[in-house]
Amino acid sequence: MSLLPEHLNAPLERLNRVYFSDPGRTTSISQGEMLVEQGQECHRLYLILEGALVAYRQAETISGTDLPAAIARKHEVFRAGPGSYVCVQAFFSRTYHSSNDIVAVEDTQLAYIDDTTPAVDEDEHGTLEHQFIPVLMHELAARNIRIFSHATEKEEAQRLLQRAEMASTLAQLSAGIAHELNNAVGVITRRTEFVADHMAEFLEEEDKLNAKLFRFGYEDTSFVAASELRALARKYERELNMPQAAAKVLAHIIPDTKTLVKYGPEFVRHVKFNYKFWELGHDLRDMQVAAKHATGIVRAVKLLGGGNSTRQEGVDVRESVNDAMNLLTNKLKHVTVETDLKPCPPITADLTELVQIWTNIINNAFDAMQQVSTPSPTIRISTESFTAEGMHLLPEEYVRVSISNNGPAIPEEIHEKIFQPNFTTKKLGLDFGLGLGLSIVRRIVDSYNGTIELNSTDGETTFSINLPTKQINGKD
Amino acid sequence: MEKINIICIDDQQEVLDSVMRDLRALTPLIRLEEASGVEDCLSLMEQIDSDGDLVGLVISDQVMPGASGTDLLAKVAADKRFAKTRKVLLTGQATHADTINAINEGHIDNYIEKPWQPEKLLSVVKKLLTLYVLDMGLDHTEYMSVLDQQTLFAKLR
Repeated sequence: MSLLPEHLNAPLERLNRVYFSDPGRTTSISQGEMLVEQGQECHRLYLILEGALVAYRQAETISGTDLPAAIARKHEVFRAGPGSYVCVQAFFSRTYHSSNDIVAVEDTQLAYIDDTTPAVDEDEHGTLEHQFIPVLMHELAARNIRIFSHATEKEEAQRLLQRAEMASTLAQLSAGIAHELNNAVGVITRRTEFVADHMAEFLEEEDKLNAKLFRFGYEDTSFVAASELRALARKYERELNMPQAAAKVLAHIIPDTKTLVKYGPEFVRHVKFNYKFWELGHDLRDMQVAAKHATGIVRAVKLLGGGNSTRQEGVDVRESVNDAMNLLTNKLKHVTVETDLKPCPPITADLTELVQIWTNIINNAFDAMQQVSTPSPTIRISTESFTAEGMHLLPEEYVRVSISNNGPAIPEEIHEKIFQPNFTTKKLGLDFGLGLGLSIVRRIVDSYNGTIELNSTDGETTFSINLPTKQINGKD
Repeated sequence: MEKINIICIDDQQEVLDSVMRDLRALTPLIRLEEASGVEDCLSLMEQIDSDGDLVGLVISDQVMPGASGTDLLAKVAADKRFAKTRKVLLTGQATHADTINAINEGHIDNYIEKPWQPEKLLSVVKKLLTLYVLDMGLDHTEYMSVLDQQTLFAKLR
């Protein structure tokens, strides 16, 4: 076998010359032909001169059962090319029965000796068996390598299986949690609404100004920087001589002096003593905002958990990007996130799958930047659409989602590798996702006939995912 | 008379509102201030100091955009003007390493986990406020209603 180290091949040179160069002891078989069958008598030791052979073996019975070998599957035992010996065991163990089916993979030329071949130069080199010790060593080493590589493959397969199991357990678990939480959050959302409605009605009958304050609090959408609000509240507190909390409420309602004049002193006086009605409204509003936030997270977790969603028409990729960002809220706190989500034509897709793509890429971006403590880490996400030549060479509409970060470059030589399963640059392997990262991304994108573009330099790494808006599935 | 301020820092306004509400019992004797992040807090402290007022207590969230709560508390601890200011970390997601840093670098006086019990928060704040008032040599009789009687009694004995 060519895999063997040189020092095992070298001693064979004399043997090959002395024993396997007799034109009278050569044979050839053509592709697909069987050299010898499992269990069949075989008195020859072959050397492959040209071509290649494959050996199959069938278990005597299917392991763990009494089922006869007749229906057992044939397993490939080895493949051998020029320079390899075949039927070594049958020949030297003198059982003269092949333990494998040996079939030609291509047209093959063989030289052989048989059990009548005499030893050459026995005086100088010893008996035939003695002379052939290098061949036996060669065979032993080949088998050793074979067994080792089988064992590694098996271990790897087992590892992948275990990972898949873990992923599916995680999926079930998250789906379960999502379901329970959804019910709880649902109660909070609905009841907060009821309470707010009743409260508004009740106040309307009691005191119109309080009702107004309550409504202002409940519908407050003002977004003023904390420092600005603080300064304004401080001003009101001093100039209007009101408690700090009341001044803060007033600062929320009245953003400047001009508006203050418009509302008039009576309103201000009312706020001073009744600001708690604004707070009440604002509390209910906060509860709704919080519940909505929780709903968003539950939704995203549920999406990742899989479930039985399928590809549907009319999916807005921006929604999936938002879902992904919701899922990663906690991590994204540590970075600046810039989004430029341009409207895109709806696509045929499964939200779950899209969310998986974005979370994996965003998550990687975050981890990459964190590993080297990138200064002012930034993640930019943009969406757009374009037309390009697609499958069947016809123009097709695509949506493109680009996710960039200003972290370290991905070295050119691993651009391909990073999409392979089990390839990681993360030292601490507790990924957020299902642990297979970019290989999942590639699998999903491929299944959409989409493409992944990767551009990476120091300080600017961009993954762009292009997905066709229509899925061609043969139906049309 | 100079005012004692308590500053709460959190990047989530809803959380900030809740903390402020839970501590409202301390007003108007104590001023409650809020900051949305580390930078905001530091400039607020500058302003309070230049107004001649005091920062008795800083209650900070850990995980915020930009710098962390521990960073902030370490800065406060290193500033001589605020040497006696008491520091509390109020967080739901500090890692083991964060916690160690908060103690070693931020010299925190207390660690409160989210979600917090309002009574627990108030009682911790009162205790620390009492220590601050005594440390600063302020007239504690001015602040009786917001101090922790047991702490006061133990210290004055």
